[in-house]
Amino acid sequence: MPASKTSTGCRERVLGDARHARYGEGRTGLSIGGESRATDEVLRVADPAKPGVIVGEAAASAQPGWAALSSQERAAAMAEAIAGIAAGRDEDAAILSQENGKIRFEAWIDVLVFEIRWNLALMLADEADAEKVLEPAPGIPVTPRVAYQPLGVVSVIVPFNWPIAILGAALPHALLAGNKVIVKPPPSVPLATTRVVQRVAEKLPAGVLNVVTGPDENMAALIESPDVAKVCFTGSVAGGKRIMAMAANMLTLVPLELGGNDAAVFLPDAIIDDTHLDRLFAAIFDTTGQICMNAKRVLVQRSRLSEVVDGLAARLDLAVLGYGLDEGTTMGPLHQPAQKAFVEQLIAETKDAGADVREFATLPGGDLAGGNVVRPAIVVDPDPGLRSSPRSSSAPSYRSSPSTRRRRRSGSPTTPGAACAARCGPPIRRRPGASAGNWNAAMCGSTITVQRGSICGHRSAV
Amino acid sequence: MKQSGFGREQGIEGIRAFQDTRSIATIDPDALAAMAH
Repeated sequence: MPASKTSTGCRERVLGDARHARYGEGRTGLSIGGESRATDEVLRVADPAKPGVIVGEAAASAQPGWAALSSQERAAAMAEAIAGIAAGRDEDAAILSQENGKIRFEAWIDVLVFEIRWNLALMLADEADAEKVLEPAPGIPVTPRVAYQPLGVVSVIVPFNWPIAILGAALPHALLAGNKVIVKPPPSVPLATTRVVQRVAEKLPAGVLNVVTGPDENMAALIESPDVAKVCFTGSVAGGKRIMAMAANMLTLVPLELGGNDAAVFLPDAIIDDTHLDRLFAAIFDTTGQICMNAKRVLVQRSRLSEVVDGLAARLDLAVLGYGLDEGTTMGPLHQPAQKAFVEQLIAETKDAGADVREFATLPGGDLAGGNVVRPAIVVDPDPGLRSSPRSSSAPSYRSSPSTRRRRRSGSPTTPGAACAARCGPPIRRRPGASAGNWNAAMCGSTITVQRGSICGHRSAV
Repeated sequence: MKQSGFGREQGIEGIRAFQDTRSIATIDPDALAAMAH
């Protein structure tokens, strides 16, 4: 496919003039503020509508050479490729903050984690290709030599909330194992991820690491191509269902990380001090609550309820809502209008029902007035019939098949683009000797799978 | 262990998730001889 068509068709992402003015200089391979920016020969940007282009040009051609290297050789190349990545971190974080909405500090950590995970993977180089020889088993007069080999081409599809850090949990491992990888950043947050991947890809052999952006409906080849051996997806439940169905035709491996709705549980003898409350607060409200494994519900023994509610409230009193890049902002906007609408609807329903809804912080004005900022809220003791009640949602349960598949078995509400990835939380642990009747003062969180609406309740039975 | 979870990012399991296993068996003369008795 001609380069110009590729650039226009797959990677173009026009952002506002403000970003262009601030970060427009430099080579991104994207179109920003209406100005085209060229890609180079190494980073192959493919047309996702044409499987032969994606896999045939970049992946297939690179695979034999990369796979033929030893894991130590690959690790050496990868170490060289990641070197200096931090030099662009401030700008990466600033762009990610603008794309995502989350505060600059979180965006900076997002990018940092990628490098940390990359280097952690490289520490496994000696072990990655290590073979082992088994002794003959009784009645089987052979000596088996067991070894490992790459799968082939791996697609990695990352979510909007922590795209670069989550990419770091799969990409370096896949590369070190000898695979070639195609990265698909989220359609609404493609810039920072593409910038980071591009810088690394340029230092690796051509075609080993590829990035493709564009609307999801154009990405079928990343999943359905017979040359793709595995698809790593972190995202929504609905997206996971679609991908698993698409992959089924070729029996492609599909590990899925989808939405979660785990509760945080405080037993009667729990330590509830500032350290733990700080961690709970972060576990609920980081990234404005838009993390799959954030605690949307909090279950607390009745006798300890006020400690938790007051502790969260004290921290929410200090929250500063605003623009992610602004100094002092502690909570940015929700990522998309649909998420804001969902939260506002849920809060409104809860208020209308007469529940104890406690909202915090002040909405920003000025040019942020029409944005997606929502006040964080705690709801104490919602009616069981409300969507914000802990009874209205089921804790997610997961199962893993003998293959690498992992999927969600029971549902919790999600909203588009929110709450990605899955976390299989520990089962609720009853205090030794306690009956269900003793464990009856639960406080609950929200069924909001998105954001800040952690809703705390206080109920008489679990 | 989730894709982006603890353990996965530090352990060999993260690498194994992107590998196939192959095995080549070679006849072991001693074991074969032992079976003949």
